[in-house]
Amino acid sequence: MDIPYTVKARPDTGFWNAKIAIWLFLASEVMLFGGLFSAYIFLRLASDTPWPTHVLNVQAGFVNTLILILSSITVLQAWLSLKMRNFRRYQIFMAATLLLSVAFMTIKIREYGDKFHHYGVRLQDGSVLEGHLAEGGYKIKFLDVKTVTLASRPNEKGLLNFNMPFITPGSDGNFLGYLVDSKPEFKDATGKVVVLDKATVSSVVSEAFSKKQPEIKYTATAPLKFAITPSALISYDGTKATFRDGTVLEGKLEDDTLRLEVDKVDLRQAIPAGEKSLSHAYELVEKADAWRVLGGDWKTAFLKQKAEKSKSGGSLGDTDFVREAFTMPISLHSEAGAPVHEAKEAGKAEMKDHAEVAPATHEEHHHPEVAILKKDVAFYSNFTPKYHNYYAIYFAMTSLHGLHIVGGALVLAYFLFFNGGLYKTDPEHLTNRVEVGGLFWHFVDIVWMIVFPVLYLF
Amino acid sequence: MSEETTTPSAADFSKQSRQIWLGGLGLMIGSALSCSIFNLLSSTTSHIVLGLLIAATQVAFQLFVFMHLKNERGIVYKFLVFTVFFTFALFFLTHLAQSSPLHFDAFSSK
Repeated sequence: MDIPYTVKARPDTGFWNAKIAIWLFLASEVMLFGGLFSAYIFLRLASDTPWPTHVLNVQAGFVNTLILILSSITVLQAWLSLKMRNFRRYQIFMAATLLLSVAFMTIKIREYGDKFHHYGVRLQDGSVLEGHLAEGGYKIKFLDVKTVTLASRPNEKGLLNFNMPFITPGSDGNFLGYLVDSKPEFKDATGKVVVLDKATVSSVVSEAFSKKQPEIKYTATAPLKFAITPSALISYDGTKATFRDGTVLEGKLEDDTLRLEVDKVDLRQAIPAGEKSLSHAYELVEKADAWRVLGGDWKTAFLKQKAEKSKSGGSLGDTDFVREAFTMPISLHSEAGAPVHEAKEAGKAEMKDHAEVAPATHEEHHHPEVAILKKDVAFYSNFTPKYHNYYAIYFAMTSLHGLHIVGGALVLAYFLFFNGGLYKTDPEHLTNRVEVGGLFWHFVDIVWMIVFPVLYLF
Repeated sequence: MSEETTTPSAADFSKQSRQIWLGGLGLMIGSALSCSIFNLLSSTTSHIVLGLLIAATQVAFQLFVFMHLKNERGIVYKFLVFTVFFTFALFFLTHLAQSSPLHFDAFSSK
């Protein structure tokens, strides 16, 4: 059966089917993205912490803009080629469009990766240090671990008081992944020596669960050492670490300092809300915890920056001025008067009773490595929605846009690779399909033309 | 991408192809201009206003030229007018959140 009006327009509407459908669809898309832009404005205006601006890689965003504009041109050229009945030309331009979409997504994925590896640490007084975790990441180190208690959680049930199938009702054995350089050899309650692995843990826990036994205690045959990712733990103290699955290690906390290669210090949150006096704000930030961690030489560099900024004037009501005056890039190769050589040993003198500064920074490193004690950390996160609402709306908008790119590219790829036969039987029908795909592609480009300045430039 | 009423010649296609390239170049220049403004201006407000004006021009160009909205029938405009109204209504909700009309002095403690 032939579907009517796939090529010729309906007399009443003046459109062929897909044309009116795509415009209706795009109209709904305007509302979808309009809602997100509205959310962006709301979050920015209502933000109770300084809104991160100019934090994305503008060059990468600009290149992506050029890529999308170029792809808009190529998709139009592909459509024009079909109008000209030049199939070879159509194939070339459509393939170019697909390649450009791959390039766009590659840059986008790299940008996301950068955000996942970039961290911000807010100290107790509100000052923020940004940078990358030192080699090995952030680990909570326990040594002399002699007891491990597996949890079977017999009283916990799943949804609707139903024991969820395939879900281990307690310890899942993931704690074994954090064991450092030793064999997980334990003695059970009967004194029998066992080497624990995930399968053993699973069967032991299941058995305990069926016996309604809440925990299974093991004693290590030799003291063990663990280096645990903080997100794997619910809580820990000087002698005990509790994992999310209920497993408890008993030993001695060796180290929980956070080592960060600092690339920026942001003191804006160290200024109390409602502060009106610029000079008082400067007085406050000169005593900020950040300098205790970073070291006095960086404070000297900040005072130099303060002297420069003071010449140009400014007030605490001017968000641009505040951003420039109370944030400072931290780079060992800075030419802006940063204490390049001294910084490598920065903080040692002032931090004697506080935290040990990490080993001297290697020549190839661009940023000083500092050690921050857990008690000094009020909050830390990578640049994900947890860190700031800005990143929540950034990821929401750009990932939704990215999904549109992927969806659009799949449809265009279908036209390119599977619609050759249609061109032979009904070239105008394929032309119409490409036109509709092209309209969607242009819309995706339009969204990016607003997303780019809003998220990258403003 | 409008309905064709007459069969275009090869010269027409060639002209249209050239126009597409030139239009694309214009859009790229617009984006470069936005980035330059970002580098040159320190005032946030003027920066945002100028940046939005450039973005709006680029969007209008994409819509009317690349998507051939200028040649479309009136029914498309009817859809779009509704959705644009809806979008601006959403922005108005943000305004309401900023200056709540449900605030009465009588309830505030003195």
